[in-house]
Amino acid sequence: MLLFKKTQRLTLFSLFKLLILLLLIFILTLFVSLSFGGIHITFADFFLMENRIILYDIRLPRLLADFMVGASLSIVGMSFQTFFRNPLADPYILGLSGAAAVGVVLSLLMGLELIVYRQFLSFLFAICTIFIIYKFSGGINKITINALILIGVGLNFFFASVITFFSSVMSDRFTKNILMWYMGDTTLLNSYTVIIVLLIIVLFSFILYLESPKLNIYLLGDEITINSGIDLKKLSIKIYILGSVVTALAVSLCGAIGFVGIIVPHIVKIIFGMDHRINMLSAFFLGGVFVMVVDTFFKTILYPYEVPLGAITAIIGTPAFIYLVRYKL
Amino acid sequence: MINEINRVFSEKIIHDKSALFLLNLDPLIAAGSNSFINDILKCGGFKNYIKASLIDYPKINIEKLYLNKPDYILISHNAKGSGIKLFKENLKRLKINSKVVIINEDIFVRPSYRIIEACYFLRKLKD
Repeated sequence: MLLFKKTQRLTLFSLFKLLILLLLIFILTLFVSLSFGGIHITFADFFLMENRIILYDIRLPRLLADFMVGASLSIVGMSFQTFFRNPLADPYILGLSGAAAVGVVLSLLMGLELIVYRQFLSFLFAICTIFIIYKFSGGINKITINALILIGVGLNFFFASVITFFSSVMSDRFTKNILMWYMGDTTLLNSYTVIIVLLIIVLFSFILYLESPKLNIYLLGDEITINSGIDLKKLSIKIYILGSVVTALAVSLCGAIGFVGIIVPHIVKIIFGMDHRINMLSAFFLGGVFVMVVDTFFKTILYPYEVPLGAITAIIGTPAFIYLVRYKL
Repeated sequence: MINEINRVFSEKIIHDKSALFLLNLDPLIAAGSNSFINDILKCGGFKNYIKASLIDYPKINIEKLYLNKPDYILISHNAKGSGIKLFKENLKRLKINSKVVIINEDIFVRPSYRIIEACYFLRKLKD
């Protein structure tokens, strides 16, 4: 990448330049995406009263939700892949999507069809799961990465079984609702909810980003990390809690959109290298932009129909990923 | 029974109102033109808002609803209010003033003898 030569020392100024560039990409994508997605609205018509509802009540909240889910899953995926030292790690590896889905199951069983209750219950279940995993992994003194990942994966199987059980004994409608939730959806979210959650996610992601220099050292192994004066347990807890809370927020609001959290970090690493100060920042913005572009592209070409966001992100992203792995690695 | 269904469904009716039949509210999933619900709508004197669609039950873009408002939105739902309440609030917010009718899904979404009841229900609704 032109901004950073491999031999060049990374300065705060060059990071600032990268941030400005990524912000410009985000703003440009936002404006282009606002003009598509159904009827085409030119930039000149953005301030006409007749387009107000389409632009600001229908398209903008959805695009911000797209960005929020893409950005959060990508930055968490990036940090988890390093933290677990596993290229297959993604934000859902610890069973948070399963926990959130069980929250949705409970809301459906209780007949709570209001989206807010469903979001609240799925968030509550995901948060409870974070603490259960943390507790059973040994708590503050004995926590290890292996224990975290094993208990997370174990719980994921448990939640999947709960969902399978209820899907087998409940009605078609119930099964369909769960399936729809798993596919992810960013439509019909109101602006206030999206903006508030987006701000919280930006704040938490920023705190997560502050750990990026430590993750660079962590890549070199536990011994070097400890010898560098980094408290490994503290770092583990921070990455785990922050990443999980960000994932829980995104999943409870938009469903379990797959692919983004595992593939976008890899694409970013192929393009930008292994410096987490660069690639966590890039993953946040490019992950968000990726979901915005994919959602806008499909809702434009299929208008007035739509396809589930979770399905199309993988359809579009996988060929691009295979190309990068094959020809750029 | 079959003859009765054939008789009612072949009666000539004026299709002057459009209706969107929603099977799900989050996301919005409608009955398409290839579904048997489309036949019930026609029998009841309604034009299906979803015209030609390759998918039987497509997920629809709310922007389409805002730009081309159907006369009626029929909701097949067994919820007692909250999901529908939110949907109605969204319609109000987006100034979509179509008439919303909650229908008994047992007679509409199951292909049985009771589709005649559904047909008469729609004819009555239109009148």
